[in-house]
Amino acid sequence: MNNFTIARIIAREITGGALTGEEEQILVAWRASSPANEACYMECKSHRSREEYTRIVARFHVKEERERLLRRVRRGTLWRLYRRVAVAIPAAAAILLLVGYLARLPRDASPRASAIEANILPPGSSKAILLVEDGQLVMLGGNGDKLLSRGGPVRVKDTNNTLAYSLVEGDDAIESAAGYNALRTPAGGEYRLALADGTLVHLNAGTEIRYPVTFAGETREMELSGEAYFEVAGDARPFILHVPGATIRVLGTSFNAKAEAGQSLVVATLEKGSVEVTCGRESHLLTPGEQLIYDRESGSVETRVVETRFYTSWKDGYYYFEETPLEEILGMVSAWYGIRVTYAGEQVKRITFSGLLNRYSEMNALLDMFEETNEVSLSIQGKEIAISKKETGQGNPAARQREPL
Amino acid sequence: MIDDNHIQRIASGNTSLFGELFASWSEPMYYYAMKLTGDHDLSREVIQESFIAYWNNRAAFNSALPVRAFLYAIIRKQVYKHARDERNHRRVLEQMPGEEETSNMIIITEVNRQVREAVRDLPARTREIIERCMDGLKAEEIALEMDVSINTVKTLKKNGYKALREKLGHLRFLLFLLSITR
Repeated sequence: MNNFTIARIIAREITGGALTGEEEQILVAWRASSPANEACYMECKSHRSREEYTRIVARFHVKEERERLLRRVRRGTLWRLYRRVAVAIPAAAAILLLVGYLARLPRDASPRASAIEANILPPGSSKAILLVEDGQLVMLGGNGDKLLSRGGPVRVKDTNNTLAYSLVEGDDAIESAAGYNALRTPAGGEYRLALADGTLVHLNAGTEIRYPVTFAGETREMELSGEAYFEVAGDARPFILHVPGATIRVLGTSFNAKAEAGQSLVVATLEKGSVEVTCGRESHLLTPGEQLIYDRESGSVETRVVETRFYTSWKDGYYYFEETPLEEILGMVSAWYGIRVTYAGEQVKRITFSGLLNRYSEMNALLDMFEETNEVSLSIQGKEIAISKKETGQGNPAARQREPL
Repeated sequence: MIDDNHIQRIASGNTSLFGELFASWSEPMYYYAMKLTGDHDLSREVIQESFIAYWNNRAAFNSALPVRAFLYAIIRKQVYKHARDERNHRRVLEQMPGEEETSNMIIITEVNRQVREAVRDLPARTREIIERCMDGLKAEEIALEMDVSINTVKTLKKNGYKALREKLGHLRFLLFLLSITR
């Protein structure tokens, strides 16, 4: 008879459950079959055994041990997946592991006729539109170095893909320079914004931010829709960011905020410092490494500890993911490449991938990587990508079932 | 609670669910390793190695019970392997428990785990009474010891046992489980 069955019967007996006739029979037969079994039964029933159990497990620090285990697992997984990527490319190119380099290698060596190759999906680039309050639109981008402001206390400069506001020294007329500007990136665009207080904002694709030209009031307030990474300058005046459905109050910090139009989720990821997020009537204080996810439709709020790099590395020019579900990866990059994705079934969305992707490489590099794993099939029509789980292939069992016992 | 769905999501590579499984299962596994070795540091290492072994083979599992059985088996294997590697291996091996003994240690571990988990969720006073009942105390003795009325003891005891019975379902269910996981 199976150990687990015997254990369950004894546990039921100890906790006062009336045994069924069948259970009774099994237990009696097992106890009678050897003196060791009878001794085992008596020990299970004894007060001493429960006491000993409590005493022994008290020495085991679950939390510490879990961290140790997860550190090992994460390290191990990364190494393995890097190796998995490296198999697909010449060894010399593997050093950097930026998938972008992959895309530039000659491909004719590959016997695989890929559906991807016919459709090149280029990355985004630095471009944005500045909306001045009087209705004027200014196209930005293309490595210009232009002074945009027309006198007054604020100098506005567009240089090195950054729109920068600075106060003209010695001018006391700051109060008079109230007024808002807005900066908008299209799909496939990104831009940086250096505000008058020294705060730096990295705008991701499909994002709009509306901000005061100078910060004359008691607070520094602005509005965001889309995704941006903020490096907030320390300042006595509180920095308050409004996104649709939520408010993020900052106390000197670096964080990523995402609240896309047409999506019900607001995602705030804190890298450094401290922020307080207010959604509905609730306020949540985040500590570094925490992420808050607020669903505007259902009103649910979840905070969790995350590897912040997954959510912020885009502003440094790469995407990094580790055991990240496919749906989340493509959600991260779809605005940048201006693509739409459909999935055949729920299962395929949950397949996880790990790796590092150069943000400035064609999307085909990423799609190739998905195909390499032999777990998904892709079909591309213009900017529409349909993804399904590979049926016939054996998946990639080698990637998971290594190291026999 | 770790259910089959949890195991399936670990199979697809979810590390945080794997961490939850560890939080919930590692204590009894450590107890088992301690019963086999009596050595705290060795037991800690063996626990790490065993859960890593499961992680490396996670795709092979889609339900909870086989994982538990796998972990017990791996712990035993690791302990023996360690004993072989020891310089004074002969002495250690002689002290190693045999097949039947380790199998009974699993039973003791599992009984303690299940009782502890079931009792843990009871309200504090009910739990105290149930624990004393399991130690064989009569209602009168418990009433005296805890300074409450006999009727209170009897009521809480009844409620407590009822809650426990619901926790630890009877065997038919378990046999069914075993047959589908084989």
